Amino acid sequence: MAETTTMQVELKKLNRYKRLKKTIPYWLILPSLLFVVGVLWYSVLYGIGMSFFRIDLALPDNPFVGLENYFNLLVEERFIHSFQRSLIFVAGSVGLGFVLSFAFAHGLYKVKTFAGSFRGLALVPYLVSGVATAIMFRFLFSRTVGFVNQFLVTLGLERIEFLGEANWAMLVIILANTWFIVPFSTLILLGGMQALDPDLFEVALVEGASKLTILFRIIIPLIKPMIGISMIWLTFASFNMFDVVLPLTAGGPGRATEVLALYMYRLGFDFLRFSDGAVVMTIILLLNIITSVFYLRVFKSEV
Amino acid sequence: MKKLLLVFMVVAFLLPATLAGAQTTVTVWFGRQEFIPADAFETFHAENPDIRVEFDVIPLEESHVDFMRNHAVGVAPDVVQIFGEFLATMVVRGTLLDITEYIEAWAEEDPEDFADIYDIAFDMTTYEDRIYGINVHSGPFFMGYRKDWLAEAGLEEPQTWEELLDACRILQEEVLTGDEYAYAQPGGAHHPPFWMMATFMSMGGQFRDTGTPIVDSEAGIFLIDFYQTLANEGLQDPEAHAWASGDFRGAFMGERAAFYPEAINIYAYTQEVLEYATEWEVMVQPPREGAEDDFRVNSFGWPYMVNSDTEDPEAVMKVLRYLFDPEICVSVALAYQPANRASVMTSDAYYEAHPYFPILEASFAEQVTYPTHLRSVERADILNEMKFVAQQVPAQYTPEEIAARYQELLDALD
Repeated sequence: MAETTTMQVELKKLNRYKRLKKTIPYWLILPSLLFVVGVLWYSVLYGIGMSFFRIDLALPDNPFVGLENYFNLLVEERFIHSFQRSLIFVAGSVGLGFVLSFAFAHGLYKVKTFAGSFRGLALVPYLVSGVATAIMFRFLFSRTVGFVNQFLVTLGLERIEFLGEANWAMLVIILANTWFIVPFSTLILLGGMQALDPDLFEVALVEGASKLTILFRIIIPLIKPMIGISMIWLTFASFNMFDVVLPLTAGGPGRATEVLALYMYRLGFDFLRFSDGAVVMTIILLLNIITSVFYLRVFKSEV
Repeated sequence: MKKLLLVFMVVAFLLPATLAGAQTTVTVWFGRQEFIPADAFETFHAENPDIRVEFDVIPLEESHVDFMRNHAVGVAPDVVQIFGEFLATMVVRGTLLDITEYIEAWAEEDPEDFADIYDIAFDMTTYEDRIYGINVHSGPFFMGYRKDWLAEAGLEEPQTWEELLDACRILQEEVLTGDEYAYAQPGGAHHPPFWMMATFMSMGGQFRDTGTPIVDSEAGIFLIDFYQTLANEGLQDPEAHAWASGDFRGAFMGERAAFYPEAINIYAYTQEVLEYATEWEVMVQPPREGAEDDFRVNSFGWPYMVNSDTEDPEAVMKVLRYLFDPEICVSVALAYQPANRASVMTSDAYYEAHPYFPILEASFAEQVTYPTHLRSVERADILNEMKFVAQQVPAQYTPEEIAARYQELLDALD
């Protein structure tokens, strides 16, 4: 009887130890979780809260106004224009960004000699600051002294006002943004490709599959979750993009490149209408959540 | 002996705390590194051992917002340097201290010193007849031009805006080739409309009491017409409406523009790349024909404002007067932005560093402030859009139509 009791106690101890062991990972991530909740979610929730008050530094009080800020801003011509420009900007950046990052990832996957060096080089644009990227693109596309126009002139072609004409300016900010955000997306896709079993390709080749068949029937289906994550990155980085656009075009010419993130900055930090800036922040957040959920569903792993 | 040692230890422990308690700390936010006095307050600390100045640099583009945010939680500095145009917003938010009585006391106590100071030093910091700070440095926009190119075309320095526009047409047709254009200016999106408002004020443009420019006036319509003409007659770079300040400065210094409206600090760089008095010259922006009486030299400045919560206004005033001391502000004036003191601006050292200043001297002393506005950035935003529309090629609207449309938007801010 006493032996049974001792065994039960030991068993209990063992179970407790096992339970404790299971919780160790949670204890380990707790500090970072607290940090994220404390720093990120606090500011996001505080920002959302601000959007229900009228916080305007040109006015003395900050009364609660409910959804009034939303109703006012959603019908504002400038907000609608900015929203439309954002959609064009994000669609262009995601479309071009995905094609390029997939091509680069596939290229890097195939490269065997100096593979590490090439992968490191591919990351360089991401390591350059947004402001530096913007200034570089400003120099590239300037009408008078820009490299691209100098090249066009050399070919005997007319100069293009890349930064002075609305549609060209939009193209320039899409290119600059793509240059900035593609490296990280490339890394995500490359990670997915590297996780694939090389035997699959050998079997497919033995079975007579063409390279295109391998790409579309094996690689793409197997890295679908990674494609989803890469699309999420490209989309949210584009919706939130601010530090390249401001020094590159400052939203101009006119308001042709005034995307939502830039408009949010203008409202909050230039016009000092903090609550209106918070409304735009909330809308960008919602757009990011909706597109992320969409991508996660579309690119769900079928394997 | 033990008692003596104990007393010594207690004194040694308490003395620093007592001394620290007797010392007042004044915190200052400078808007640019270049505004910090060359001696970094060393002389001030020697002369005022009871006051300790601690300073930091918060860029002018952010300082007013950061200051108001910090003020709300009681951690704002005693002195903040801002763009003068934000004065109204900061006063309305109750963040600034009315220092009128201290300024009046200064004028009474040292009239000779006070007489050395240009009016703009206090005009720019006055809101509804009360003074909230001191504008030690300000930078009106004048006009730089290619003297050699004008001479080549047989032209004299233009005396009115009409003459300047005619000179641009002649230069463009007879002298300039390729990427050279008669006029250079920044576009709209990158900057506040300082350059545009300088031109507007020289053309006789006026403001409402709220600080709203009256653009549907003769001066406003003339200004819009001027921009339309530059763009539509090809007198400026076709991409000028998208230029940042660096682009148009680069155009003049890179010998691709004949006229450029600029401030003294940029002329300092210009003389390093172009030979002053031979290749280029400066002038005051001219008046509009028939509006000579309304002509004013604008002023944009970066005044030091005093926190409404400051605990020791007397100590703060000592710091401000130190920053405005001729021997202190001269270093900033020589290296960066002009000072609003006659003794500094007319000194041999200043003339030597800025040989063109004698031409601008009289106008500099008569600066008129670009008015503050409760919604100054939104005002700037509307004006920038107006300028962008005015520079469309081909012109979509008449200057009167543009003026009417944007006056309505500006008035809505009031």
